Amino acid sequence: MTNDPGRRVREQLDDELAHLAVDEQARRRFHTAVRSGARPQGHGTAWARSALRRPGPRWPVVAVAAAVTAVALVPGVAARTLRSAPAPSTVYAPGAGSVEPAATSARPSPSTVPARTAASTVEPSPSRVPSPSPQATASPATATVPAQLLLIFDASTVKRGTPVSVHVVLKTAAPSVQLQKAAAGAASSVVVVSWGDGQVARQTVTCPGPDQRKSAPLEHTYRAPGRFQVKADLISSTCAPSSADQVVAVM
Amino acid sequence: MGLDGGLDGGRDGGRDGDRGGGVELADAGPDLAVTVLFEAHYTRMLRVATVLLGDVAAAEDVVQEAFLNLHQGWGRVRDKAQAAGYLHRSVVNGARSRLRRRTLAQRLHLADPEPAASAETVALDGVPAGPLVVALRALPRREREVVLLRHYLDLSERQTAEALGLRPGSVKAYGSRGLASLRAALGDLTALEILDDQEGGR
Repeated sequence: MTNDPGRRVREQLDDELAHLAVDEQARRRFHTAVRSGARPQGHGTAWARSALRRPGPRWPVVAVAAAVTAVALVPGVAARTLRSAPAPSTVYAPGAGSVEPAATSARPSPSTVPARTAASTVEPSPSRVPSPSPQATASPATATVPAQLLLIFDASTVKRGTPVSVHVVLKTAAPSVQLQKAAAGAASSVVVVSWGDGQVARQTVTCPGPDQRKSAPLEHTYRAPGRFQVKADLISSTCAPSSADQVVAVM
Repeated sequence: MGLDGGLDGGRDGGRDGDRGGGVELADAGPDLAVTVLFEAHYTRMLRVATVLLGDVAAAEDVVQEAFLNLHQGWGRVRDKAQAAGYLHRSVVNGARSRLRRRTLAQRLHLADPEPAASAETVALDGVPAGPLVVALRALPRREREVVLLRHYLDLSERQTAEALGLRPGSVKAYGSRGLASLRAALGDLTALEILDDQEGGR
């Protein structure tokens, strides 16, 4: 048998790569994908990739700003959850005007992503980025204009006259003195949402308490279907630095 | 089930399995057929892609993409008996595409096109590679592909040539050079001493 180089190569390689084998999880996901005929949009996004195992830009890009989370709501369709969990310090490199959105995207599991959300992206604005600096944590009042995020969603399937709403969600990261104040409702943020069709909405959101979220629902009705860039801006905030770790898209 | 029997003989092998299971694969629906192919070929395909790419996560993507493509295009596969061959081509092409993108990104000093790996992936990828994997990774791409498909997946020269888009003569040449390089790299590794006899293989 030693005359068969292929066999020895196979044995040796199988031995060296024994840790790479189909496991129950991959098998289960494969069967789910086959049964449902589900195919994630984008390139290289196969069924066995879980939402958090290896975030990647080929999925609907969900870059989460450090202070806010946007929730796109199109009524009448089931809720979906896109998760991403970048820590503020890994999302943005401190420094004026520069953004390093490393690890700012998430690939949700195929089963949780509707096809239409594939066109959805949430991106931070390079121009206004929260810096988790000690200064900001020392005084809530200095944490003005902490973040901007850009939510692009494909509304091409939205019928004319269908109301669309965006929830801008503030979520606190870790308990702190400032957050205790925020929890008391003493602090707030002003959220401005630009709907992408020239319309703008504005809302004040009180700061959430530790490990809580506050949502600012803003509703809008487009006059015609299309692809819109919805920008949610925190133009003023006395909330302590906070982070968001979840984007919920309901399409 | 009949399909299992048809593919058992060529599990992760290719030649016998394709012939044996072909008729029955032709009668099967995409779900059953691709499931059988998945069970038979996924692991070895994953290992091949991992050696080609040097990245487990990317390899998983490439292999799974190949299976998904096959599943979705099952109705368009004219010769179902060659489905495994299609998978081989798909995996190789997917790996080449990834490597091209990676090379281009490096050349243009772009950010890493591959997303950052999670801690879990790093831990898995951190498993020390064995000497053969290391030696294979050091081979030129063509030689690496030929050695893997010809000797690890046990494809014939013709099948390897089809999967790689080469002439059979080129497969022979690349394979010969690849094995010679492996011998040189692995030195006196007894497990591969038999590679000296590779010319008499098939």
